[in-house]
Amino acid sequence: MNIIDFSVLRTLIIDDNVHTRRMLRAILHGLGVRDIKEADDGATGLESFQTYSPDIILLDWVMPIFDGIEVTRMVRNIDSSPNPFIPIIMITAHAERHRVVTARDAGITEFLCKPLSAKALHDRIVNIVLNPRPFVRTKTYFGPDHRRNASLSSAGAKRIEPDLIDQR
Amino acid sequence: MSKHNAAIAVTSQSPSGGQLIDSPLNFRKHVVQVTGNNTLDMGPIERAEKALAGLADQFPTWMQDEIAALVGARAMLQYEGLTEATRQRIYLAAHNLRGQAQMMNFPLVGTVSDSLCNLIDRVPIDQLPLPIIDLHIEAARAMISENASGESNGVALKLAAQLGIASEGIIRKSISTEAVD
Repeated sequence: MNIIDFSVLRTLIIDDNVHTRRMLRAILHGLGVRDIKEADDGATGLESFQTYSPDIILLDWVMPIFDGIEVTRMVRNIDSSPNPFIPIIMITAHAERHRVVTARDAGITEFLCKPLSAKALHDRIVNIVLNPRPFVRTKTYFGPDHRRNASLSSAGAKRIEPDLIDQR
Repeated sequence: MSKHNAAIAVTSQSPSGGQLIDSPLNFRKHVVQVTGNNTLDMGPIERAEKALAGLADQFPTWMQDEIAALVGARAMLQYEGLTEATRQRIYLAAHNLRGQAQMMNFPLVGTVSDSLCNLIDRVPIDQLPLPIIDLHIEAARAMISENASGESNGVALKLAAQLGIASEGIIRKSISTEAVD
């Protein structure tokens, strides 16, 4: 049996909504995560990313100051980010296809549509741990390779075909 | 060059310079313990669901907080007029409500706030119909104050459906006007 020790994962929650943060913290605690930090806007989240050195970021999309897409782009900036490879799970009420594509193209690792569920979050984290993605770097993109991403594909996102990688 | 540029392990490179890179992060060796067959321990999910269920008695209060934020955003719009800032504030509050409602067992509030978000998101600011926005807010507020949770309240069901139709009609009209222009 694969037993995942969630207690060693340092997790940063960046979400402006206090109730969502409470629910995420409850789920994470239930999973066994013990080291959790919260930030209530994108700017504070970026600061925490620098100082707290998380293993995983759970990120909201719609937030004041910097939104989740802007935060993702800054985290993935290979020239300035302290950890451009960090897994990012985008958690949002946006479910439209074009939103999923936008998030993917910014460099998120996993996409999780609200309503939240313990199983959905668990599955995203397990996927990150057991099946880490390689990264792609082109002139215009640096981020996870989504070509085998079942979750994004099933959400309707266009797969990045090998030929397209160089054109991005 | 950052330390990551220096440490990158490129596994393949295309003629035009695109690179496939192995992530230097390896959680597997730190967090996975294998004992026997290749199944996954499902205990954490059960414990997480239980932890989440433990918050349920607070959901009605949290929904009151969310609708208060939306009503407050509408009051600011009344005071400051319809600007990009007031539009954004209402959208943010409606979006939060949309994200929370279903999980907190107010799915019809979720339907109404989804309709409101679509309206605000897709109709140009100078065409946004304030009376329809107000109807959405009032409907969500009434559902929460009457504790119309679940999907069995007939009045709430009808109201949510009618607002959705009205919102879609306005969006369609706005799109067709844009196309003609």
